[in-house]
Amino acid sequence: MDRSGVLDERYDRVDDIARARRVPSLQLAGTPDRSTLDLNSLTDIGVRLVGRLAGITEDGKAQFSGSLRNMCALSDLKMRRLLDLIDEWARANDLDDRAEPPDRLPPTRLEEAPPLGMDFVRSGINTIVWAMGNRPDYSWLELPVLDRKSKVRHDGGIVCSPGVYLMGMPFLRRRKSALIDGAGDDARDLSAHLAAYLDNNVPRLSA
Amino acid sequence: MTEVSTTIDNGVNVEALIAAREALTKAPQAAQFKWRAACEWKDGTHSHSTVESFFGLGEEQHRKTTFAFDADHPEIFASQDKGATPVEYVLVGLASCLTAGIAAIAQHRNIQLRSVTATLEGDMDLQGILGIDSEVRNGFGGIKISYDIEADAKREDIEALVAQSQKRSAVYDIVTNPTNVTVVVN
Repeated sequence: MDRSGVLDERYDRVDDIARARRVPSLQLAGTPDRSTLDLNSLTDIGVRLVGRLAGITEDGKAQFSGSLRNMCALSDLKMRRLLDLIDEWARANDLDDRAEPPDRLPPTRLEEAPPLGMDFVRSGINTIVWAMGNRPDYSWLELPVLDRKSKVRHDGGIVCSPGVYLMGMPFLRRRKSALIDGAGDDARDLSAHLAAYLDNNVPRLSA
Repeated sequence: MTEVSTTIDNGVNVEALIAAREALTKAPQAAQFKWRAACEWKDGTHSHSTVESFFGLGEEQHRKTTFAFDADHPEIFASQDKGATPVEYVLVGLASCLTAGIAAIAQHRNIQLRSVTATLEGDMDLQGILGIDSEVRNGFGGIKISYDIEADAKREDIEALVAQSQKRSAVYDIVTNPTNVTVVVN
């Protein structure tokens, strides 16, 4: 993604930036042998896939969404599009002979009829791990810069309050903005803007 | 995504939809809609429903015509078969919603559709609604939808249309996720 330029994709060239900024962070597998870690490999070790937790019934049973199959189809399609893009880039840059032949992971396997509900107690589930991501808390920020969903209003990190900037948020200016490697380019852009702002707005002390 | 000259026409006014989306982003109150139906019992399991007014964009909205629907049970249910069964209406609702979505997304993605047909099947174990077996649900055990789509696009792009349509479908959401239903007697 880095070498092919995917991570450098700019926020103002994306079709739907609001949606792109809501995409969950990359899942990374850190094993030295780089073995695949996907839903199929989890299924192989006995993990059971169910739809998103959609509710808890009156008698305390979990309800799962019936949309699991489509969720997996959407991910599989998205992964294939990304791999196609990378393969095209390799071809266009004459790297085919230096790379392994293109391959594709098999589609996500699902039960014929994944469960729509579960009694955790009866099923022997003893631990629940909530992996829900995080949301910024701007309650400490005493500036009128939040939108109706309590997120900071900004244009590529330039906040709607003079001299205020945002860094490190997903797809702030580039797809890599929330990654350590993304900070450098974003900081360069925003500090240039800040310097121009200071030059134009802050009276200089005598040299 | 490359810009293609807009000779692609699936009959969907995508520009209007995008403009509506922008307008509603700034005025979320106007996005609060209420859809309605009225139903009158006729005889036996036959009822007649109508759809006309709805609420949206901050005010009551009316149509040029009133849509009418007859529902009934088939003869093997010792009924009069004066209309499709309510569960078949659900399949129609689901198919229509997904198909409309496919057309809209195809328009937005500059894909020319040639033909789109869907067949649906919902399996149902009657032991549920007949109260024979309490472990069997009343509704469908599962719904299967098969699409035949001819379009000027690669197979993966067509699959992506269908997947995206489900992601943004109202009826798909209603059917796959819990919905609060409140029934009152006046």
